[in-house]
Amino acid sequence: MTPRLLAASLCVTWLLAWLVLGALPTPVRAIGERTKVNLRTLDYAGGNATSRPTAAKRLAWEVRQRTSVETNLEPTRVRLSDASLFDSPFVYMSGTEAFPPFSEAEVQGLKRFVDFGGFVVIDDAAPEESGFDASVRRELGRAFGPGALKHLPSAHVIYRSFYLVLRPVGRVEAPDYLEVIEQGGRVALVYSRHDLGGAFERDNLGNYAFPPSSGQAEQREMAFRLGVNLVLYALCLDYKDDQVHAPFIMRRWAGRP
Amino acid sequence: MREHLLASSFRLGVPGGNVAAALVLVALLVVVVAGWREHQQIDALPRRLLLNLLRMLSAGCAALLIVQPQWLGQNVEQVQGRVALLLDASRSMTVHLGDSTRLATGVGLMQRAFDGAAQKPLVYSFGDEITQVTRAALSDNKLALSDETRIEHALRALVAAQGEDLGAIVLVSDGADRSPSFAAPALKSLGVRVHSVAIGDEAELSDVSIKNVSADQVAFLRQPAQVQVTVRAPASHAAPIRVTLRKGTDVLGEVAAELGPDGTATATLPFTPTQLGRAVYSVSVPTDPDDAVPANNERSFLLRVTRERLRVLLVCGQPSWDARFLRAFLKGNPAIDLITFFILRTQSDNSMAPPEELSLIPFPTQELFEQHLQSFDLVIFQDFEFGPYQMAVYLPRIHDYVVSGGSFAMLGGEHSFGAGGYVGTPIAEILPVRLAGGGRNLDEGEFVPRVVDQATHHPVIELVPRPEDNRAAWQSVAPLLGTNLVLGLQQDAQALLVHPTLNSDSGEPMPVLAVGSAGRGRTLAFTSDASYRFSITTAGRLGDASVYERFWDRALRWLVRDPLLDPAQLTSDRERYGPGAKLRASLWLRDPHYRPLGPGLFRVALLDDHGKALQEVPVEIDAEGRGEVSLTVPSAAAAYKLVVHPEAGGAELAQEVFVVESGGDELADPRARPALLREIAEATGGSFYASPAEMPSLDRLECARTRVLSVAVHAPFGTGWFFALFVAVFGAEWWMRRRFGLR
Repeated sequence: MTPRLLAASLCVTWLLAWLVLGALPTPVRAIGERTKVNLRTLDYAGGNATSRPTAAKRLAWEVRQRTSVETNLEPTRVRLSDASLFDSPFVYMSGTEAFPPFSEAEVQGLKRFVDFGGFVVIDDAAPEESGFDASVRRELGRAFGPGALKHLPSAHVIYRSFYLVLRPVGRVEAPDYLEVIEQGGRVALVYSRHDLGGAFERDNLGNYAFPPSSGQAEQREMAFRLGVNLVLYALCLDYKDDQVHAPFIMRRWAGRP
Repeated sequence: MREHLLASSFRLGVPGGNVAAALVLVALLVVVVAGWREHQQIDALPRRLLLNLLRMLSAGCAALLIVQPQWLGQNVEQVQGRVALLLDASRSMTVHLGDSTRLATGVGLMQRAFDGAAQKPLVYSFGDEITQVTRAALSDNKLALSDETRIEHALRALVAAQGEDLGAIVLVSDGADRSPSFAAPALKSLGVRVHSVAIGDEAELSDVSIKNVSADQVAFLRQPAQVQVTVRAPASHAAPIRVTLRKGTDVLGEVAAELGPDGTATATLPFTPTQLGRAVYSVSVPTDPDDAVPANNERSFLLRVTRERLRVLLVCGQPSWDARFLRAFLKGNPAIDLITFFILRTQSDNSMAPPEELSLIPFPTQELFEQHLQSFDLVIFQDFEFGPYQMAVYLPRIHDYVVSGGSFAMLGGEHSFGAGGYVGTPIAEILPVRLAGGGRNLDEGEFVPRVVDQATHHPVIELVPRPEDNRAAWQSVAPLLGTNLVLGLQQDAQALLVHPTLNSDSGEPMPVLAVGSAGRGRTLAFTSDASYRFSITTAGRLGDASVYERFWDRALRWLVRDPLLDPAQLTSDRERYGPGAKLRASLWLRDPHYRPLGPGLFRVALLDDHGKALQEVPVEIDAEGRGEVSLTVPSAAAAYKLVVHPEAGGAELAQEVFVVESGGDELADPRARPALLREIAEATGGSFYASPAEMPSLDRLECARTRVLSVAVHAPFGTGWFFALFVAVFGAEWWMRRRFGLR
């Protein structure tokens, strides 16, 4: 076979292969990328909103690895005043500093998002300080009225929506509760002062960016479990409270220290 | 004979009537008093008196100008008209009166009156309607008995039928009209005298009766229900009355009712239905040998027994927003008992924890699909692939469950329809869409589904009644994100929403929402996994999340055959009738695709409880599928069924069940009410006769009616002259005031 014939044969073969393979079905994991669970991060003015830039991405990866949930591995960012806020029902907000008051459009956006079925996780990435915490409480008071935040009971289904979680931890351990706002019988907003994002965050080399407060790797794992449970609760609500689950879960609780 | 009269009356022309006139007079009195006080400044008494007089005169003129008293003169004539005899032929007239019955007594009176009259009267009988009868037919065994007494309706119908020729009506009745809205004074507007003759008196009948039965139309299986029974007995009846509740011949309960001072008692009988479906229950009281009306000692009622709550099984292939919103909707509905299963972890997932640290439970496929499948009203597969869970063995069971009357819905996703491996399975046979096997059968494009023109009245997608508004409502929802691709519709299935651009292999628009049936069950296919966008996303745009709830609520109700959403409906005007009563039923006939079945001829059959046809009547159905039918129910007390078929034969389209009672409402309280008849006579200017013996010959009865020929209105204070007088008096006062030094 002459080099020219060989080259021609290769070209034809490549062309045929391209035509045939191109016509074969492409594996598709979902009807659309946009129906996958998108753990969107909230953008807002001040507060150092990007202090945990990869936290949502890390959580999305862990949820996909550990559960059957199809997550979007490149979570997007959204503002409370965006029309696209209502495209997907999940928003993750974190920060380290005090931030100026939301605009009226943002307050209304937050309220409507929760009213219409959205789920919000607010994560204080600097629980050692009070600036972010004070700003969050001020804005939640504006949107939902004073006293809307309540301590989440330790028996709540959030602590067993996938893992059996004994108490909430993130990069830091205290406090031993989550605070929530309930809407129509469901938890619609969770406020954590445990820097969950700090436990999830990795640097560009793939190393964890912040050590857990106890120095124990188990604490980071517990933070991931809480994160997974929050996502599973957002998706399944009180599914684990159904009567059919009770005997199984009670047996497992009973077998634990 | 005509006689002319002049009637007069007085009225005030001011809007607001007496109240407005009183306010005007008070205001003018204040003006007079204020003037009198002001005039005190003038020393000369004659001048003061003159000004006070002028002030009173001008105030008086003003009052008459504003209040406008008017006199009405009516030129009327008294016209002698024909007399109409109106005999009560309701079943309460069958009650014994001495050796005879009320009806025979009334008929005898009518015969005598007719025969003795120089000018022969018109003769009518009435119950719920009036019927003209001849002298020959005036016999107690030839009159058709009615199951209701509606005196006011009969009088108005008679006046409307005879017009101004009617001079007077002679009403012969026991007065046992228990219509709650009937008030004799309202008959003043009849314009015709009603002379009433009472058949029967107020003396207590020796009759123990069931006056009323009150039970819900729907009860729940194995849940306590109750029926309230009001019994009545004459004052002489001292002992408690035993009330018995039966279903068929089975005694379900018994209670002794203590009578109150008014001779009535209400007993509550609890019971627990143990069978689904409609059934006839009866309540009864013992019948004494001297009981005047034994027929009212037993009453029946129909009860529809359903499950307390719908049982829904929702199986989700993975947690997703679509699953979350559907579960929240179903869980939030108190009428639904929901069992949900999410596949939270697959074989390829690594949960990084031992089982005891997880809250996961095994998917109890055998328990659900082998033991309890029949107990569910609806099974929903949402983005669920059966293969990994060894479910293939249960798919025939799900098929059979639907064919035998269950409901099934499949919702879209990467694990649904063809992508879920259902091609060639028993599930594919029951779905309303044909599944695409192999190849790419998903489309990721964003789209707003389009309402199929012929389906706009289908209850599943009828968000609002008007078709154009409904189409607009569906166009306003947030776009869906991708769809499962299917080959088209199964035979006899119906597409309700379709893809705006994609077509199936038959060239028809790609179905997005399709419904169908398999055997006795109903099925639904929704090829998107983003219906949640009808909720939160649509709400973000329009401020209203109700499209999602309305859609799924209607879809659910249609799937489980909510009777209110049945395409063909046959509804009787009552649930219980007396023997031989007139039944009216309305029909709304549409095919399973909710398209009107008219215009055309259909056949309504009346069946006994063994299914034997007792009567058949044709009924004309209009272009909207609507029609009405009227027939006479049988005399035997029992449960009956109405069914409607096409005239040319074919399957039953709709049915309705009713009960015939031996007593019914008409005999529940058959005591005569002469006081009511007296009120009617007084209200209409007629005479009342307490017994047939008191009634004079028809020729001696007042039978003139008053007719208004003209009306003259005399308003002397509405003229220009009177206004000029007012101006003159007022001007004189003003001129005098200035002259006497006042401003």
